[in-house]
Amino acid sequence: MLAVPGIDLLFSSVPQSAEFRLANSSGTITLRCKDLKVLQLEIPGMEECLNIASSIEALSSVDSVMMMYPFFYRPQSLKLEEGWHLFPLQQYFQQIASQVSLEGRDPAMLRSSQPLTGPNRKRCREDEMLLGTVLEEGERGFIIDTRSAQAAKQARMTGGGTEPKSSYPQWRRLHRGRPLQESFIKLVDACNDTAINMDRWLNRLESCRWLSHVKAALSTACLAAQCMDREEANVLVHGAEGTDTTLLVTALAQPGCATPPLPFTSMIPPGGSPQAGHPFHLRCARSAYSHARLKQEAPLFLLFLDCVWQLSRQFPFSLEFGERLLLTLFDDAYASAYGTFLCNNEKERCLCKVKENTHSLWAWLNQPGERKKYLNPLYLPNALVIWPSVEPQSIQLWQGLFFRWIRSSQYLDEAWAEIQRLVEGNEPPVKDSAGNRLSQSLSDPTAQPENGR
Amino acid sequence: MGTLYLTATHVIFVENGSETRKETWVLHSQISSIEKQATTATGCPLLIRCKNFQVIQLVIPQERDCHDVYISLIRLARPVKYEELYCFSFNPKLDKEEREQGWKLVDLNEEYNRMGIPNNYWQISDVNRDYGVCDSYPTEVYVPKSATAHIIVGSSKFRSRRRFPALSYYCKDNNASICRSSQPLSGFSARCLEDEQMLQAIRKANPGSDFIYVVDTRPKLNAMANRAAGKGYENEDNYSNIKFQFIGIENIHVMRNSLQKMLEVCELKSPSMSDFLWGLENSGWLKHIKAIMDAGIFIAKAVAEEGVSVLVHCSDGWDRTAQVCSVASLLLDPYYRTMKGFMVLIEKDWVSFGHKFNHRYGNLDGDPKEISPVIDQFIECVWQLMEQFPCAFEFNERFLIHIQHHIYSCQFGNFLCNSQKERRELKYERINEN
Repeated sequence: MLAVPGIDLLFSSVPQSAEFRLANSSGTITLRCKDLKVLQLEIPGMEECLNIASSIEALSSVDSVMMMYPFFYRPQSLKLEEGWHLFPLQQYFQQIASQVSLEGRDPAMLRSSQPLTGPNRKRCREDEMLLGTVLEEGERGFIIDTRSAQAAKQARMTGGGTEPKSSYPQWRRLHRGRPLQESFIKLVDACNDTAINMDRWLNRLESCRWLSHVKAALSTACLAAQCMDREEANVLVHGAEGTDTTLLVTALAQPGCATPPLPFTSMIPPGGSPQAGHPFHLRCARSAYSHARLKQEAPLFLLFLDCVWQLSRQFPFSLEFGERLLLTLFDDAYASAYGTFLCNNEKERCLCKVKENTHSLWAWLNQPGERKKYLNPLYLPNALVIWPSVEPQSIQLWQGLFFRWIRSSQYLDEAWAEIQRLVEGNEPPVKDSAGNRLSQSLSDPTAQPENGR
Repeated sequence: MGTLYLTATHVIFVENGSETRKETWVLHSQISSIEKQATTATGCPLLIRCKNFQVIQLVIPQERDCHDVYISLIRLARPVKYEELYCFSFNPKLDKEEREQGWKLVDLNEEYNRMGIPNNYWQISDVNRDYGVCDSYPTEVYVPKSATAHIIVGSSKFRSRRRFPALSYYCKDNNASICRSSQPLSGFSARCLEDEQMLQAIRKANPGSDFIYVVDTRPKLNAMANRAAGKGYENEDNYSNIKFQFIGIENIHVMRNSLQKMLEVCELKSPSMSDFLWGLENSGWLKHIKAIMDAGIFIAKAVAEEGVSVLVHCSDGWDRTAQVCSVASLLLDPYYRTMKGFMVLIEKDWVSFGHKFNHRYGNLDGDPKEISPVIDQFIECVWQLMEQFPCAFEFNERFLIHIQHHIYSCQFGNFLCNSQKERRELKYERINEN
């Protein structure tokens, strides 16, 4: 742990490239963190500065998973082995199964990876039979391919492909159509530029295409949900690997997505089959400040969280949890004291004995004292499906994440505290908000991080 | 399917549903434009665009009927006389006394008293009591103690439309003030002793500072172009102890076009995110909003942090000047963030200081080049502030939308005409609701 007064900083939250500058007799170390925080440390003494910089570099690029912080973090209130079985996959599927009515079958959503059709249009009887059993006589299903039609076609050249209509006659295929990491990096860059003018800002917002990705993800999820809800058809979702956009879309499209942690279990099943999970270690390696453009890195999980945030904005009563949970999950996906997001899949987690030697984030969050910090005071349980607007006007930049360290959230926090008070029926305090004069300062160094724990 | 009714004040569409009677009411005064679209199989579509951005499409089966409705609406939406406006027939059944009480709700003398005026530095002047000095200013103006009637009159002759520097906001904590005027008629080299003395008087009214800011809210190029027409801006060499600053807010024509473009973006059918963001950037709307906010912040900082008085003007001092002074006041003084305070702010900086409501918002049929969303922009600035400071305002978004609606609705008499003088001539207070 780097101990700086008032600030907790995990080494693994710092990307490998920490800049340092030497001037006169002191040096400045700029740490760009995976949670998008930027810290500048002024260290008197050139030698001191160099020593500190090299220590940070070494400690923040640990090779072995088992040397990472979760294997050492031992909070007092938790016992090891607790919390890993809180939300097992079997229980989840049982819950879904019990919801299926006895009269007819409710539509189901399936996910997979791409069929290995290849350039010679190979077929597989077992695969066709499997998909055949999902549908009854005369029923139709939808295959939502999260790749664009062109990308799917190209995949055939490398042994992948799509389900040919002749072999899968009852299924109708829909395509959706990316360099997500690049988009993320450009957006964070634009957000950090506080001297920007309006034209340039809008230009950069448009060209980074982050909001376009959010719109695409949400509308694909809506499509899947529509197929199930309106058409009452079964839906199969796949991309290439079945581990990225597929998971994103299936997670978003689920009804009952409103209560945690159901959507999250589908991204990281704690129990169940090996390769079913999202490869967090690869996808969330460096975050937005890294110079190295890792091939496998992509902020899919962030995109998912952003979509959930969009839903929470459009449906303020519909989610049991608030923005704070989403921010916490973002932080922990990249750098955590817990083992929940370690490794890439179940197999790797078993090999590293994650469950035996680290704590589960869910166990921490589920403690009564903690849990209440993450609740949405406006939550009203509602069984209806929610249909978000995916028009550009309805999709907003997630300021709580992207401006988290740039602009104080003091006044918005105040508003939420007030909402909490109103909901709980307490007497509102004497209004002293915003002082006399309205003023916002950028990069307020005294602003506490959102989830200091 | 339904029935369309045209009354003297409204267009009303009543749907044919059996269970609930759904009615859509649109005030004629809210209608911005009516467009006859190409006839289709179902009938002749008529597109009505409203000033509050509502868009209604009526499909009328017979072409001849459609044409009749079109002609009628055009006439009804463009009243020629004030008496045709809704406020003259709107009758919520209050008695005379209640109606007069309504007009007394906002009292500007009371407001200036609240600020701490009159005092050692500022006084009320009746030099304009018959609108003899400036016909777009109110009869009662607040000026520095050392500004004699002679100085005021002299200064007014050197200002566009005779709009001499007058007090908008006074900060009693540090004696800094916000004054407003129009541009000086300085051309390339003209000078006026009384105008220079007027600015000196403003400076002297703030013993805590040895200079004042003069803020010209226009882009520098526009201001310079005005010099060729015998107007322009203050030369720092001629006016002692001033620091001059351009802020660069565009004029009413640019704003009118900007709004038009933004509405076109909003009317796009299924735009992509790129189309939308590009359209938004291209309209320039948010850039203009930011410019107004930046100006307000500059002035508020000068007053609150530096303790320096500011004189603000644009060309005529009734558009950008009003926007910028009101935004600055909102930042500085929490009173204006209450409901009553906000009404007072609009009465002070917009109504009394002669913002041309009639011309800008098309109450009566007039020159389309005078139309511009000036107060709409101010209202958006307030909304932006509410987004950033949710607990700081006593009123909510609905209140703002309501005010914007009624500026165009002419249901009430507050926003009629172009100046206090015109309103008094119309004797609107005796007749209308507040």
